Amino acid sequence: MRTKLIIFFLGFTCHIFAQEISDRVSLTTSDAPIESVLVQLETQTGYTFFYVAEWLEGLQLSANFIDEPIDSVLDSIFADTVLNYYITDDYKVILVRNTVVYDALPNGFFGIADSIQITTQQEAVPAQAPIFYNETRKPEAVPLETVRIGKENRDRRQNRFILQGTLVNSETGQPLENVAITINNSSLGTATDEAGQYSIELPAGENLISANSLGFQKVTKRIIMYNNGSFDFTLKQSLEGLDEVLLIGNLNKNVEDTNMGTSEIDVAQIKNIPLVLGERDVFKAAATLPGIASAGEGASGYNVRGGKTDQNLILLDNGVLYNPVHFFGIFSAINPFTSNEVTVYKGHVPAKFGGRLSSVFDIKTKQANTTKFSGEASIGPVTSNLVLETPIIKNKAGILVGGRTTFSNIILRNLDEEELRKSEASFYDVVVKYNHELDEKNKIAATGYYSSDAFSITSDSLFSYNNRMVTMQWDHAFNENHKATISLGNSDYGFNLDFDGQSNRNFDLGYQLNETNLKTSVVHKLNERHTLGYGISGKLYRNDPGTIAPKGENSIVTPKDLNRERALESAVYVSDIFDITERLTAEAGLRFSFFAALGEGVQNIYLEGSPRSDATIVETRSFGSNEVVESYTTPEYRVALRYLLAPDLSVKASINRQAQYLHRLTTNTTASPVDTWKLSDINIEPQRGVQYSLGLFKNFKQGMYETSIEGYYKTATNVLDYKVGAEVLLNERLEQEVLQGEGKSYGVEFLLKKTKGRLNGWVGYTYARSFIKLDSEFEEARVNNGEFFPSNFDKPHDFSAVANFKITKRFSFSGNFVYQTGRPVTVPVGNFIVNNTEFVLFSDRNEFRIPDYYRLDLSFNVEGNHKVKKLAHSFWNISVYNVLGRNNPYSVFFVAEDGDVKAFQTSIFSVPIPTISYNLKF
Amino acid sequence: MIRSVHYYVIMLLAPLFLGCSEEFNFENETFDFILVIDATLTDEMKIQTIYINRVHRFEEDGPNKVTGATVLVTAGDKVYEFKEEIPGTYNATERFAAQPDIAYTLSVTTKNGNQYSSTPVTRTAQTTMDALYAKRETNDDGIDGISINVDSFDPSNSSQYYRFEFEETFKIVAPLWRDQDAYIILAEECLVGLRPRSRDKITCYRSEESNFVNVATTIALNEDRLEGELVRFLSNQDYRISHRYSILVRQFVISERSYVYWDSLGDLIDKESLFSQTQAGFVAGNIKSTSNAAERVVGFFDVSTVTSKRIYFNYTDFYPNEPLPPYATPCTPDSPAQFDAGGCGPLIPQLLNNSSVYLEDNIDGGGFFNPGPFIMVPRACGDCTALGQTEPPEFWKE
Repeated sequence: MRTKLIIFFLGFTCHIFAQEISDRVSLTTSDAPIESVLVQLETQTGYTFFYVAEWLEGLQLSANFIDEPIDSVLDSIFADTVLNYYITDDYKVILVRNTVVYDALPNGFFGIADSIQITTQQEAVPAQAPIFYNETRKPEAVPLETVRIGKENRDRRQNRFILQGTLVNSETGQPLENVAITINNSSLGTATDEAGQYSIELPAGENLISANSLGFQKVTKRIIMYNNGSFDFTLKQSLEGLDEVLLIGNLNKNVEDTNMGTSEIDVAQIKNIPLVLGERDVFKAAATLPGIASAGEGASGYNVRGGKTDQNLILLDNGVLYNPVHFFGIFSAINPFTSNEVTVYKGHVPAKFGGRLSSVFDIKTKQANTTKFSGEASIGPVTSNLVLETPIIKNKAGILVGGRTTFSNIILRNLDEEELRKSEASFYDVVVKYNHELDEKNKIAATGYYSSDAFSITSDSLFSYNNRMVTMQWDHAFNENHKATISLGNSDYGFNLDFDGQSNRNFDLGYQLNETNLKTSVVHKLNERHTLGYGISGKLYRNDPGTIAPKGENSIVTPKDLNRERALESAVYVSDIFDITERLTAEAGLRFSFFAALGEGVQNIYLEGSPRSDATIVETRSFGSNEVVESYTTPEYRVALRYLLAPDLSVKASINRQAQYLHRLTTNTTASPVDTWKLSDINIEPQRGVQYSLGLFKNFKQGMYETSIEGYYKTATNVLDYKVGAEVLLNERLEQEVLQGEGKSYGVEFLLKKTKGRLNGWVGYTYARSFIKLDSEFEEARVNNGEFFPSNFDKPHDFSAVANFKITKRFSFSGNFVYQTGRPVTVPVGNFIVNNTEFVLFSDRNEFRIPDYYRLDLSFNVEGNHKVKKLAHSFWNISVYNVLGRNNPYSVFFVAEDGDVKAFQTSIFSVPIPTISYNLKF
Repeated sequence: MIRSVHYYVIMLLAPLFLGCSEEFNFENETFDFILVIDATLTDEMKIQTIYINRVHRFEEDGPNKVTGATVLVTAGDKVYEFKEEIPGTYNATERFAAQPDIAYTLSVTTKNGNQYSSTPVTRTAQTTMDALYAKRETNDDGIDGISINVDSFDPSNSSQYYRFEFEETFKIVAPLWRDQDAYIILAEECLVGLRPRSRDKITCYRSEESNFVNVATTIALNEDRLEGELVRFLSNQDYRISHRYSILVRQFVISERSYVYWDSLGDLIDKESLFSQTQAGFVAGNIKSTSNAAERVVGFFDVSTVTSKRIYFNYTDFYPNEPLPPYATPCTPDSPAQFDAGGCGPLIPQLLNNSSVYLEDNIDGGGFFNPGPFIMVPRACGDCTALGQTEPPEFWKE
């Protein structure tokens, strides 16, 4: 009992002083605030007080104590208040309001507490009742209404009573059927019948009772049972509906959501996952969930449900980010301090999103604090991070500025070795967010983002890449049920390789992609059963596929400038969230996307029915500025169903069709920094895919355990792959090098999550396969005999476990284990001689696999003490990445040596990497 | 150019991670001895030859010869039979030249009964090589040397795809030939002496065949013309051009399919891009197994026309009054001991396996540790037969 109380929540003030303990008090005060009196008592006696500061507001004390025992002093201090106190064995004084803290159960559970009873009615609190529950997590939450049921009967030593009542819709007065009534922190629960009536047997004393139904705001009451009785709930309709809003502690949300294949990552919780070089990383956290696999250690890109790395739409406040990673993918370029939440849609993707086949990573930047200046900072061995927030107009507008950078340049500058001193290795990212609530109905926000990486490759060569993004958003509410959002954004990604070596082949190579997008979306809650969403979006792409220019006078590099590509991608969508019955909800959407490749430009037209080569070009067609080169349309249907078998058990199904009009070109299996993008045109068609999924979701113990099993089957057409020997960089006739084939993937994902308690975390396992088929009537365009073969990211087994164990409030351990089957590769298997030339024989495409990947990380967190009055909250993180020292391959390459071909693997972190970082929040 | 840029990118990124590279083995226990068919018929009237091997492991030196196969080429009504001459080499039983407008089909049946067959192939168009010439130039890598170039033109625009092979022959002059040779008189007693060395060992001739893929196409050009097509580049540091050099270039006109095949294979072994980001994989040719569709077969059955030209040049034609390129092997003198503690010194085994030859007597020790009686140099430095043959080949012209 005591430990329970001592593990208080943040809403409590605490003062901790280590000093001699004394039971006697001498004190003189005159109209002094009680809080200051308590501080004096703490100083004098060494006792520590725990209380909610607001209870003491306005309370004053005039008294004179001379060497009196502390309990009698406290008795007189609280004599005229509604406060009681309880003194623990270890000299802590816990103040309670209205109630009395008992130190023994059940003896005297009812009936004895008259000695220090202040209020007229006795309220007994079972020791385990979490009186302060949830206050920290939802500071905005309205204080719970307390309802007392029945009249206490001292003679009846009954422990359980019956509560019954009716649930009605507050607007219509209609009784509500099938509403879940749950009792927090217990396994009790029931549901209303057709008449909206319920009946439940509850333990005596305090119970937190929630009535929870889809489409209605959850209602929680503190009900104190003294006897049998009744209580009626009225439920208000919820505007949130099925919108993707992350509310921690939202019981059974995972079960009730219509969306399946959705993973939400609470960025603040990521600190419990061990870090790489002291960096919290939203993407790495995402990759610990089933169905999301990192392309490889230190490789940028994620394979979601067997999809390619370019099939993920990464949105930051509605703006697209193309390559948000630092240092070739070791760190993500999303600042964890400025990000609020990340929602990953890997199964059902709502109709408002589109443009990629596999997933949407929807990252939201925090709202800037409009009430007070605050900030967060961290210092790690590689990077440092600082975020500041300040109100511009109190309670209306605020600005948030976050930046991260690395010290590596400073380290390099101070090295003795000339070569290293001249080199460059730096990255940084900056995010700025401004939000302004104009009035109750109008809000505007703007986000700016920039990330940049620069590395010396040789002493005079520099490789750099950057992402730039700006978005502006206006939210307008016509009324409570009808809201619209308009956003305008521009995203840019580019890289540059400035090569200055010793030879006469110096060059300057560049690539750039830019998109401007405008979209509006409207959510209209028509009635209690239908929530309509609709919108329109347009995107203008400008892709400069590559330029190379000779550098220096001696360079013999031939300059080349590939023609700019332009295209317009637009879409209209409409969707409805429809509560068909109380148990069955559907989200049905239709998105109609349209893509037009625009001039000016030149396209090669190939002879129909022949393999593409220079020989089969029949025409080189030129297009004028803004002339439509080729257009494609795709009707994309998005349907999801959820059927609630019980309040904590549901089955969900979805079918989704999506289209992708731009493609990332990479012959490597992992995304590489010199990858460029290609827009669809006459010769390269858009990729289209359909995903079918089915899942079962069940929660146990009031949502303490969340479990799910999801299966999916995906097909795709026109998935991009490459001919043997393909070169994609700076290739003007790319269509001759690429192949478009059929993709197929399927898998089953298991997730078990423990959301609360000292030990929390999750375990995920995925069995998944991913295949591609490249068939053609022409031998050179056929791979592996035109049959399905494992794609580059076919990793059948993927297991991950994340665990966090709180030793005390201040100390916690966390661990993270990942296992993945090694990805397929094509390897040289032997030699052969033809025409007096020795050639290397390669295996079939993806016939072999690189060694399996596994890694264990551990970390230890030390939180600063929880004094509220101190200026800042801090924590230390000590972590060891790759504790087992596993040499996980980043890439595999082959070297011909003395007529033998040897396979080598490169690893980035082949030894355990310890790091320590310091975080500060103020 | 595309290739080399890509190569640099990869090479440059590699050092970032080099510290963490380690060798490992793919489990490759079931080595698949894939059949390799090397078959090019030409329009030359001759005994045509087809080579049949199997793939070999990296650590093995050469191909695994396939013996006892039945090899047939069907050309309309005519069937040409090929007989095994030496293991793996199958010669036609009669002389014939590939004719135009006839579809040739290769079929091979191995000893174990597996059957393979090519798609029907028609002979390509004929084009003559207009010129073959050597010129001194600095190549793309900034190296000064001699380039061998071909000019060719097909006014009918029907050739378009070309493949080149060459055979180079060059004169070698041993720089440290002496008229005396050290030899072993009595090995048991480590007794050595001197005897005359043949003058035949001063000048020799050596021939080497091209061992890389060289294909060209005129498809992107306005006319079917190759101009200054580079078939061979020899650095001015290459000992082959030290004296007199001759090259025979054979120009094959090949089909488009054949071009794609050789070009893809070439991309994969290109030293620069071999193990880089180029998409690797198995390159299928036009020969298939008819008994097992899943079985892979290496090789391309080509029926080509061929023309050839030979040229000669001397080093002094391009580099008058300039020092010769370094010799084929470094000629570092040594004085191996005749006797060692308890037996013969290293001189005796060197003479036994003919790895070094006499230069001069070691009179004052020459500063060597434990010197022997003679100053010796690597054999090739004083005896050119280590590298070539004494007699010039039949075609050789001075």
